[in-house]
Amino acid sequence: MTPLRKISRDQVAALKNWRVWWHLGMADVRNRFAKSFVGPTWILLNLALWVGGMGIIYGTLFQQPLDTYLPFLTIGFVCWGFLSQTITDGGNAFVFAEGYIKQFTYPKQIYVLRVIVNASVPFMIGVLIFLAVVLAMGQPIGPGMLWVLPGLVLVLLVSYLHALIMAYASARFRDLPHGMTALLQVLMFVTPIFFTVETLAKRGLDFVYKYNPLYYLIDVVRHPLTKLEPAPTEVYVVTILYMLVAALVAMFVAIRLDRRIVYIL
Amino acid sequence: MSSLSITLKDVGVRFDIGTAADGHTLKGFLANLKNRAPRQTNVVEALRGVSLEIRAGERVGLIGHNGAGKSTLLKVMAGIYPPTAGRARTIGHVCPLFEFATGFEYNRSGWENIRIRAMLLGMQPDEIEAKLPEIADFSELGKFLDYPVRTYSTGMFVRLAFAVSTSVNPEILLLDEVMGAGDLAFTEKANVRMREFMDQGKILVFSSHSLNLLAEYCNRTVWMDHGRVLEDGPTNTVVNAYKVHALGRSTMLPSNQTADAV
Repeated sequence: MTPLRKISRDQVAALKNWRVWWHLGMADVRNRFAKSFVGPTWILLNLALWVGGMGIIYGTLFQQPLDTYLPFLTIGFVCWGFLSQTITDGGNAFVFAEGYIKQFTYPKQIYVLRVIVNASVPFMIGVLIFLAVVLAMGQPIGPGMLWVLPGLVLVLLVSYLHALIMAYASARFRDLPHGMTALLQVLMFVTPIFFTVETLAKRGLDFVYKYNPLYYLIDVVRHPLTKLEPAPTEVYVVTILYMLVAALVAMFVAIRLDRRIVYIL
Repeated sequence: MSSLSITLKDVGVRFDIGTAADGHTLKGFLANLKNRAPRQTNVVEALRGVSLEIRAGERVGLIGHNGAGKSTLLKVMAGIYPPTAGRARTIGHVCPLFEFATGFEYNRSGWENIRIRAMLLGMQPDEIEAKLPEIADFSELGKFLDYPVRTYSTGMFVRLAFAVSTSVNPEILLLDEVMGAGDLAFTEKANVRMREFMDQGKILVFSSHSLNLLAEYCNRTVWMDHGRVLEDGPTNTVVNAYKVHALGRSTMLPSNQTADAV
């Protein structure tokens, strides 16, 4: 059996056994708040605190009206949280599952899907909180927001590919998760989350977002939710192209490393 | 696919342990620069040129000294270790029973770990819920099942894992030294259950140092030595040859130490 066939077969088998990774991922969410008095409400508190604090300071700093800036900041941060969590947790997906991988015969992809489930819960809660912020700020809500659905699907797929690449590559190169954590800290401040694209363009800093794939991945969700219309065509084009590249990289990494994972863990 | 089988053709497994233990850190790299020592790679050949064909209904025992490749061979059959040379093909649902000490979620309760383990062994959620009381009962863990498993002792881990693993319906059952390992506090009860469990498997492969067990269960035995198949045939023949070999080696030892006592 060629490596590619083996990997496709494993991938299909992993998706079919959705109960396993769904259960593992949801258990991870519960476990994160085990013994905590406030529990998963921390997701809400955390976000409220962050948006409240940052919103007021940066809104004033960039001279943004708070009623549009707070929703913008909220959804941007929520998307960022999902993208960065799936990348960093993806790096540990196989390493942490070593005990399972060496003992059970399930396709390894379930440990990556588990990471996606685990990160999706705060993501979805964040989207709901965003809607609450929109209502509180008296901003419009409408059917145009539904354009977010294709965006969410794209972000979910890309994040899965990110996590897959990180899972394989990090098992081989253990420095990678540390490097990515450091890199993501910087990227957070050069990706338009705190500042709007217009602010950047006005100061001739538009290269900051133009060549940053993470900007497109955020805007494909953020634009429909804040502007009630589909995101600009270029956002979809770049996102889909980026997804194809990520799929190729994921395939390459998986073909190279799939058979070796159990030996290098 | 109705015909269960395990087919190994010229299978080899090499472990590259050179990169894991030494020198593969910044510190080690700098030290090597200074010493100009060539980085050595340690390769262990755990299996070499192993060819086996196991069909439905066969009960195969594996014997050999520690490090002979028995565990590696079982993991190749399970599909956990992809062979680094040759080809391996296993048709049928594999139920592996390899170790009872790893693969737990330490912060979660015993119940939760039963569910996860059962899922990873291929059980469906409704099947798990149905078997849960029976598994819990057999484990004799009682109220400890409500506690996170990090509070468990080694013996309790073994009970939990053993209770779950033996509750699946196995097609191909692969066992590694699980019986007579001595760490089962509830040995007698476990032995009974183990026997029932082994009777269910349509293919059974198990490694053991207990020649009595092999004689009881296996119609065929494979003797592994240094990663190779030394002998493969009817249990009586192979076990006798092994005994002669082991006794020959043990002439230096006190006379009461026979192969059966190993």
